[in-house]
Amino acid sequence: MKNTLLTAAVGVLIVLSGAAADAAPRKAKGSDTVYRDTTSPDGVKGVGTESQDIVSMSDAMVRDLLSVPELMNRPTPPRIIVDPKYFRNESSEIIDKALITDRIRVNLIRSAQGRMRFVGREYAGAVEEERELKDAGKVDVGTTGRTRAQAGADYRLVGRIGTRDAIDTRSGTKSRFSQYTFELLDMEYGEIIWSNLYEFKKENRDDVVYR
Amino acid sequence: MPKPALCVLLGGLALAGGAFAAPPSSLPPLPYDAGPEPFVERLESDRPTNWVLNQMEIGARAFWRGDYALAKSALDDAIQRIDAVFSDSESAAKARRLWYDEGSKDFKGEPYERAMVFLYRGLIFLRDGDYENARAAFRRGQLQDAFAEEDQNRSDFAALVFLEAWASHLNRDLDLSQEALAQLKRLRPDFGGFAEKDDTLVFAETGLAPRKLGDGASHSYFVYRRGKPIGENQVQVVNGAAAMQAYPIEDIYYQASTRGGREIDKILQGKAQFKATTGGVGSFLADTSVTLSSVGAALDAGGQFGDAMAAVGAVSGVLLIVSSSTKPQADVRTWSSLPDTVHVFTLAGGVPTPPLTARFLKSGTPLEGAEKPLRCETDPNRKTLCLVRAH
Repeated sequence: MKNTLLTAAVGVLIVLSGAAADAAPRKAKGSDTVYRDTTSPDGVKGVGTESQDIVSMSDAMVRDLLSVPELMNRPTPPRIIVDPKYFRNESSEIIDKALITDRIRVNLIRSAQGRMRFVGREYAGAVEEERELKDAGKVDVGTTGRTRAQAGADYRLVGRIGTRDAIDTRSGTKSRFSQYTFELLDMEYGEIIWSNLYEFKKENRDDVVYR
Repeated sequence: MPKPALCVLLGGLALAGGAFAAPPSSLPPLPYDAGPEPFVERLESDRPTNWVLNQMEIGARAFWRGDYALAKSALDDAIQRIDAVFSDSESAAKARRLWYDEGSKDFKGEPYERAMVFLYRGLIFLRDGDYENARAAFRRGQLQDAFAEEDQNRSDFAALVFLEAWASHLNRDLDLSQEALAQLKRLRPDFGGFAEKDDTLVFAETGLAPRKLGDGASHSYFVYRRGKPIGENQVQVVNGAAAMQAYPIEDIYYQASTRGGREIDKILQGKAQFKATTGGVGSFLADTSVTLSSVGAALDAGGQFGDAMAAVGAVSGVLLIVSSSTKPQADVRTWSSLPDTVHVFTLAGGVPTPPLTARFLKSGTPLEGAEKPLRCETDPNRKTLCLVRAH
């Protein structure tokens, strides 16, 4: 009996001392930086767009664009603008749209092997600056000669990001449906010559103490 | 029972009372107008469970000082941690466990505090001319508020709805702007909207942050109280000789002490419990022509809530957070640099922005010496954001 009581008392103190130690300021242990596969799920979980979504959607759009006859079968390679300007974010997702459009453009340029040409319209200011210097005779004409104007485009990548969020406070469940719409717009006639979607829905539930 | 063993046991229990009756010690409060530096230091010295709270303080204080780089990084970090799911986190498990108090969990803030993180982040996006991400931030803020409601995707955080409309207006997404304004009309029927040519937003804050005061046996719950002292509740934007009344779009204390327009009684086992009869949450908006009952009416129209809200009162919401295995110990950690009321005003100011000042009033009477210049910045698209706070 005596031993049992002593054991119980000591046990109480051990539990309490452990708890008290936890109540004191604690420093989280750090970890070394490690490389991860960009197509792997993020370690930090949420219902938003992750790196693997950006990689997957960009690669899917590139593969699909490379099979569009209007782009690939023309004797004169079409000129295309791929930048984030008309890729509208109407969603609840805070995102750098250029992550997606840059990846599409870079992979298209590398894969199309000259069958499409790309206009860097977002850098038009830099081009104009150089052309003015050439016009003023402050620099020479370079090695590729002069043109009457900068390149006009035949097509432009446009699109929209949309989301629908849902929350159930009874269960603490959050879900988000995300839809990325990609389209190729004829810049003379206004026709949409290609469209594709990338969509996903994510759901999670936080711990009860945060609801 | 042998005396030594009894003493040890009783001593242990006494220690238990001493160790767990009070919330875990937190660092002392700092003045409302203190800069972000002390909180940057606290990131290292304070408990790790207060990380988000300290980032919130850094974010708001750096924002109002004009240190947007620091504010941005602090708010982004807070957002990441708010968004993170803590389903298997150790501290959440401890907060549920016997003997552990509510305050030992990682702080993510109450819905109004989480919403304000997105509000400030959205304002920085506006300042940078990134209207789409600003709109996304304001929408995300509304979702934080919607957390507290019974149904999905409803929010009565009018300041965020207004800012969503303004971001769409600046981005020339007129359809989206109109949609948000229609939603705002249900929450603030007397808000006049903004003109098509308006290009300048004045965002003003008055009063001090809502307070959370522990109450009940072992401080098992806390009550909300309006920040004090509050010397002003109205703002006029002065352009030369002309003084124009800013619209009081949001009462932060009201947001803290209600959910979806209903007064909180408690949250029990993860579910908000509302008072059976509406008591009435005092609001300065009622003093400044914004009728709070309209919010209830709007929500009634949506078929969600039965009781309309009462008018002015001093009763605050009571929040009790317990789970079946948690020793009651309310989490009274508070984002102390929030305002009491948010006011907005829009105009076609053009560039350069005319010299504007703000005059603060209490129930229509100007406070002596309380006129401040607005801090205005114009983005690359020639749209201007002007900021001013009373304190």
